[in-house]
Parts: sequence; C-alpha cells; structure tokens
Amino acid sequence: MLQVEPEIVANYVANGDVSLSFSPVLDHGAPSLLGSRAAECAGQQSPLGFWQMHNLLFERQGQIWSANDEAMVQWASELGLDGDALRSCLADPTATEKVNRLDQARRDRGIRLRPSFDLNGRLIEGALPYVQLSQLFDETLAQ
Amino acid sequence: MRRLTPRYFSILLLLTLIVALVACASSTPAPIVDTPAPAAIASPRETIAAAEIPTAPPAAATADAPTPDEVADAEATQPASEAPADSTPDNSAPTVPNEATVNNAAPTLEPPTVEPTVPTDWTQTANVEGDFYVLGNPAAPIRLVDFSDFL
Repeated sequence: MLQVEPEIVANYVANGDVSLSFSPVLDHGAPSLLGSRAAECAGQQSPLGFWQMHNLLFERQGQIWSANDEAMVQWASELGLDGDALRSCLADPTATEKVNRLDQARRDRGIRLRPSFDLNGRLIEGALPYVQLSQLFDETLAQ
Repeated sequence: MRRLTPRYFSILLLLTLIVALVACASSTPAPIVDTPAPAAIASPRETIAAAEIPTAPPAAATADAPTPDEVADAEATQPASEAPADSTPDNSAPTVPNEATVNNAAPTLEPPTVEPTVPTDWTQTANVEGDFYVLGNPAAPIRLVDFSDFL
C-alpha cells in the first residue's frame, strides 16, 4: 500500500473522489501492534493526527522493529501531537483492544493478503499496481 | 423773536422729520428687490443652469452663487441647454447632481464583497466514522479501506 497510496491520495483523495480508511493487519506480532497502537492513539487526539502518524510510520518502517512506546511518543511529539497524551493512551489497554478487534474482523472476513482493499464493498485482494487501481476508480466514478 | 405758536411748532416738527428720513435713506443701501436672500447653498435651479453652460462658472455651493441676472445672461447665450418640462426623455437635459440632491439622496449600499472560495484540501481533512479515521471527502463516491500492516 505504501507504494500506491501516495498516488491515490494525490490523484483521487485530493479532488474529493475517494475517501480513505486504514484497517490494521497485525501479521508481524509486537512491532505490528506497536505501530497500530501508536497510530490509533494519535487518531484519538485528532483524526488527521492518525494519518500524520500513519505516514510517519511508513516512512520509518525499518525503525519500528526496534522501537518501543517511548519512540512512538517521540515521533508523535515531532508531529506536534501531545506526547504525554500519547504515552497515557499507549499504556491504556483500550487502544490495544480496538486494534486487535479490527484485525480479527478482517480475519473473519477472509482477508489474508496484504495489502487488500475494500472499494465500496468490493474486496480487492493483493497488491495492485496503481494503474489498475486507477482504472477501477475511474470505472466506479463513471457509474 | 417770534413766539412759537402751535402752528409754527408743527411745521418745525414736520421739517425735522423730513430731514431725518432723508438722512436715513442716504446712509443705508437701497435693497435689491429681485435678489434672493443670501444662502450658503445655491438653489437647485441656479446650480443646474450654471452647470449646464460650458462657459459659465461652475456652480458652487457657497454664498457666492450666481445671481439671477448672471444666470439669465448665461441662459440667453445658451437657450437650448435647459430642456422644457414637456420634452421627451431623450431630449431632456442631463441631470447634474447637486449638493441638495446629494444631501437628500438615500445612501447607496456597497455591494457585498464576495470572497473567492478556496477549494477544500481533502488531503488535510479527516473525520471519525465508527472505528476508522477517514481521510478525505466524507461524501466521496468511492470509499476505500486499506487492510495493511505498518511493516
């Protein structure tokens, strides 16, 4: 998703044709959970804060493996978010429970490949090149 | 010395009055019958008539407004400048705003300034919908959910 998402945002989200949501997939254990918890806690401060943390996590994807809660607090502070609030949220099991619940929901739906997309209820599994996604968007918009 | 009889006294009094009247008349200027009372603002007719005549001095809303004599002279040189009352609208004299009209005119309202609309930057717009933080136009025709891992 990292490869095509910037193009989707620039070409379809920016002009109001597409709204984008992110549903976590925890396929790599604790590091996956850490990143998803940090994004969730950023979103609790502001919806746009979720996406700011989402972008930063993908930019520093290689650093998540060795990161911890304090690293997430530091990254959130760099974005202008409240570090103390993020620290408290990471310590609260509520964010962990929500992330786990969403991950279970996609398993229950049979989604196994990463990334997978839900386009207006239509499941698209596996990574698609941007060109193909763009065609799907244009076909849907033309309907 | 002749004694002042009532008759002579009356004559003397009458002469005195005559002399006094003559003296007063000679000291005060004779009023001009046809000149209107001086005013700070010229009458509309005078101002319009004066403004319509290219050669006439500009109408001034001061005490130095042209006298009827001056206006009459100017009108005589430009008889067609002022349209008759029953003329068609096309031949009517152009209306010249005068101070009296301006002062009494209703204030014109400024047209509302229309600020140019700034398009929404949907990439900086996010909302909460259920469990998700949705980026972009909440009314977008395509709702895309990305199932992905940050790793």
